Amino acid sequence: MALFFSFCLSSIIFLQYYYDLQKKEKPLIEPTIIPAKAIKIADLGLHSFASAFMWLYTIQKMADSPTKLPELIETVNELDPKFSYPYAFSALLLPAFGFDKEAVKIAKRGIESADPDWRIPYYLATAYHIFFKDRKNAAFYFDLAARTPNADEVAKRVASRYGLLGTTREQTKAIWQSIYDTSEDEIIKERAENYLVHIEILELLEKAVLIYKQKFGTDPLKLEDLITAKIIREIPSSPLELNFYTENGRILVH
Amino acid sequence: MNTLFVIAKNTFQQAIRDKILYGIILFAFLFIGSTIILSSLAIEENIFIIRTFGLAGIYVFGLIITIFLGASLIYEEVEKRTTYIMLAKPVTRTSLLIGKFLGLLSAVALTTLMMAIAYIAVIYSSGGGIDYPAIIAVGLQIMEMALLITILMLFSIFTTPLASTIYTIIILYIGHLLSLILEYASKTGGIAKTVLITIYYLAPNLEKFNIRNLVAHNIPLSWQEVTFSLGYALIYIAFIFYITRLVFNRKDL
Repeated sequence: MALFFSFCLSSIIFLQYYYDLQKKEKPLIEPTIIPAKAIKIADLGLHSFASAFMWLYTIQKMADSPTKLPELIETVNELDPKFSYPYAFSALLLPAFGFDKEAVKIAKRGIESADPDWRIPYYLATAYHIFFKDRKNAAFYFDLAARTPNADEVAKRVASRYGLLGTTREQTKAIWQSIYDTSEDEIIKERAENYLVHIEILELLEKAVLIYKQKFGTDPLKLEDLITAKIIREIPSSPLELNFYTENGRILVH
Repeated sequence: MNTLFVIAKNTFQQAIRDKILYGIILFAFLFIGSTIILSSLAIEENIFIIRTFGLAGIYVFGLIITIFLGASLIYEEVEKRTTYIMLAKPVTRTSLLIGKFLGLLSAVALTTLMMAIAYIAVIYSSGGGIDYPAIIAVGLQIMEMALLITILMLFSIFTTPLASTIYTIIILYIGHLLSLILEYASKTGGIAKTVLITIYYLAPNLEKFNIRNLVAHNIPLSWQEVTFSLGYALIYIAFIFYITRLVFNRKDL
């Protein structure tokens, strides 16, 4: 009896392990997105629940099926237009996946329909500043974020100084620092941290180029010259997966 | 009056003695408790996730309990011929129906309140404070269940528990889709429009009792609307009850 029990248990565990191994080799199936209208018919009026469920599903599918992100988020929004966080999340993360227009469209819809949430215009303004280099729209949405009820004090400070104090890079640093400080979302915090580290590396390399010029009277031809001159030990890699290079004393990325 | 409460008390005791009911309640508590884990997947907005999932869980499990307990309410009494024994005593058919209704409603209300307490404990422990609007949402849910109980009672007089369940589920879906029906009616014409508009006005509009979406978003409740919904429930219950009484009085036991 004990032998039979052990055999069954170990067979179940082995079959599950073997199934998981097989599953890894199979290509991932793109998620099927049920239209929001169909979900609304079936959900017995529990639209907020259906939206929250779809949101959890979207977060899980984000890494595996990034191409479906805008559709998934639109389904979440359609089920519950007042659920604010997905709009803010889209504004900041969708441009990183190449969905610039969709990010703006979703965020603007969120500003109109969602519960008042300063993060939607703030993250949209950040997207305009960083990804689209549109300072005018960035200033507009930063101002809107600052005037939204319950806006974070850190965000209000950054928004009020935007375009008035500091260089573009200082403003960018302040924006990402404020996002890092005010968000509890690990994905967004990681994104903010990556940008801050990227900017730090940029500043480090610029200082290194200045030191090289002071020492040798000329700009380095390539970054490896800084290593040869023993100013830096190695060229740091950007967490944004961009490569640094130097041209006429400036640090550029590609 | 005394016989009415005796029937209600017996129905209540009969309902809460059902072991399957405890299984359903256990799953309901597990579901409500698991919202804490689910909310951690959402990263931010964890209180919103707990609220939406918690209130949805109370509603779905409340429905399961209501339909499970109510589908065979009168049918079993007639099949087992226990109605003869009761009606042989100075108990009218109307008292029997009212007593059954009150007994079952008490059982459903008790289980719903138990789930609501579990939900409030989960929200409180997650830092969301005491969710007072959710209490009103649960109150309106109990009114919706009361309405469904009367519908179940009506069906259980002349059909089997399985058929009662199916018909009630159909009415449940219709009740939540009436705004869609009205939308279709505005796009059609002729007899179809008349039929759809008739359905819209006569079918029970269960969306009137659905304030879960408002509670999830902290939208202030309109006391006028809540009072209107309560009034609607009471009138509709009285209306269905009257039809049930007519059908039951004519039924050859």
